[in-house]
Amino acid sequence: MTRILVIDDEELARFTIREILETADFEVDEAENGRVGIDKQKATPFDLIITDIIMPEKEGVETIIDLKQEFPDLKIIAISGGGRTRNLDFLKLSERFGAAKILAKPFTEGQLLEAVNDVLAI
Amino acid sequence: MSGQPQTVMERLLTTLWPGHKTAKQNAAQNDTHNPKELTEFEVRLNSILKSHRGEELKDQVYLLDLSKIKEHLGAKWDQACDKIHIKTDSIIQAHLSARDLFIRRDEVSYLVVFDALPHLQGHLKANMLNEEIARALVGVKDAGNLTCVMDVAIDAKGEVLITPAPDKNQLISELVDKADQDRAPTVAPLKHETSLTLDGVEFIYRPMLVTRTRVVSTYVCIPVLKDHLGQSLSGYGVLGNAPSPQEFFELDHLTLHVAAEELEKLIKNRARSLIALPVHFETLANVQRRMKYLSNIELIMQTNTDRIVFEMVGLPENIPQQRILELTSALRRYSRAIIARFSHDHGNFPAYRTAGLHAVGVDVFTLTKNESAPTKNERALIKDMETFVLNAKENQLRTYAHGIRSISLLTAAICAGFDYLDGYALSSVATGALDVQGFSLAAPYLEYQRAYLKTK
Repeated sequence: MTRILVIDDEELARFTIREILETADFEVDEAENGRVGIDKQKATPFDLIITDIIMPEKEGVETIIDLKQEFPDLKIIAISGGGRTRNLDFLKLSERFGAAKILAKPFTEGQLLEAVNDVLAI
Repeated sequence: MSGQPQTVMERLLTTLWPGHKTAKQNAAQNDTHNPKELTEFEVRLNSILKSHRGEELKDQVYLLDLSKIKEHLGAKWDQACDKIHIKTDSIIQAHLSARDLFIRRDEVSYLVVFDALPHLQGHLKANMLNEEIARALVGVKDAGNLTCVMDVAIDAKGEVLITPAPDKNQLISELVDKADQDRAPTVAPLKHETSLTLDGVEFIYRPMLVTRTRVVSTYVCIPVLKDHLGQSLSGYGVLGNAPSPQEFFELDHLTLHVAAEELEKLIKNRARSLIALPVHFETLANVQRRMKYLSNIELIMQTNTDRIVFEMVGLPENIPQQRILELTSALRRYSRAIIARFSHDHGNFPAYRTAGLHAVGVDVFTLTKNESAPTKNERALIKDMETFVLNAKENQLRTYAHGIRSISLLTAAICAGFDYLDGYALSSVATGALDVQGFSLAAPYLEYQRAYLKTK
């Protein structure tokens, strides 16, 4: 079964994404920030990581940089609402540092699954 | 008079204000003064004159003459006479120390007495007071031509001399000459003039980013010190625990000198950037320290004040709106902009807006590294930053985050909508200010990537 790690500091966001992915038969684990996510990836590597951008301790772009250095072939999707200002510059930046796809929050179930399937098919 | 020799005060009042006795007698029927006010003025004036001089008087009493302003305003003066006097009273009051005094002599003039100001500084302060009154009453454009300050003195023969005080520029020039005689042109001798142990204090410049335009246009001048344990202290932390108001003043004074020198270098190099420098509430709170600080700005910044941004630090919580206004008004004429830095839970935003602050800032550095208070975790801090921006924006205030020390806080601060940012997650500090330069959002991440690779 394909294993996916969801990194997001918002518990509700993690829960929602997990529900969608598990319903689509993916095995899902969660991390509340990039630091915890990287530790989990090192312990038991995942097929795909979905990471938020604005997070405490280690945010999304940093997390992507770290992960791509350690796991160059790892597939990553970056997600973000851009905060109060809806700033999506960091999503674009995450592509530059190795995210295979970006998704602006809020997204639909269909958009998430399409992105996941697209990236896994690469 | 009874035939007894007149006191200094009597001579002064008889010559300078022949109508004062009548004013006192008529005070009950007259709105201009009340008897208590006049008597108190005489008692305090007598006390000041006795405590400082014998039978001579110099550099203490000034006559502010508003007749040119009255002439300029024409009929408006009569229509708004009461308001004009209320405004003038409040401006003078705001700039005097507790021991100074003033009284309205007649419809168009005021007597101002400084308890203890050295020669030239009293002249300059009286000039500045009159200019500020003119500015408030007729606007900035015309204020310069409408000021008239008379210097009042009594010589050894007991003769009262009333002469026009020197022009402000001449005073400044004299003060500069005097300062040049007193100190070498560099900052170092100033350290020896202060009672503070500021040895070892150095200054760094932290680039401040304008997030909307992605341009670094301002450099924040920050004092730093390595303590005996080799630990780096910065900002007012270099003063150690519980510094006195005088220590705050002296550090601000030193920072002002250093920033002025740096600004001169920028100008010489045709660099267009601005310098931001902190000024602590304690430096501004006391009228004498404030006046001294403002005089120093006049002295050393001269015409370059449009390149200076003051960052007010240490404003007490719940500071009254009028008090902030008083402090910002004092600094405004010497700066391009005034910003204020608070802890995140400071929320008197309507007052800050009314006071004309250009931006309000949150001190992220202290909140993430404060040994004397609980340190916020980043999650709580991100929430607080968002709330701070939201509240400030509701009051049409620009926002500033100082001391962003991690990339996660940098991303969060930009997305929260801060207008200005500084901190070492953004850019490293330098020993001097640089020119205006563009900033790439990718730069901190590329730097992080390089550092990451280095450790591997």
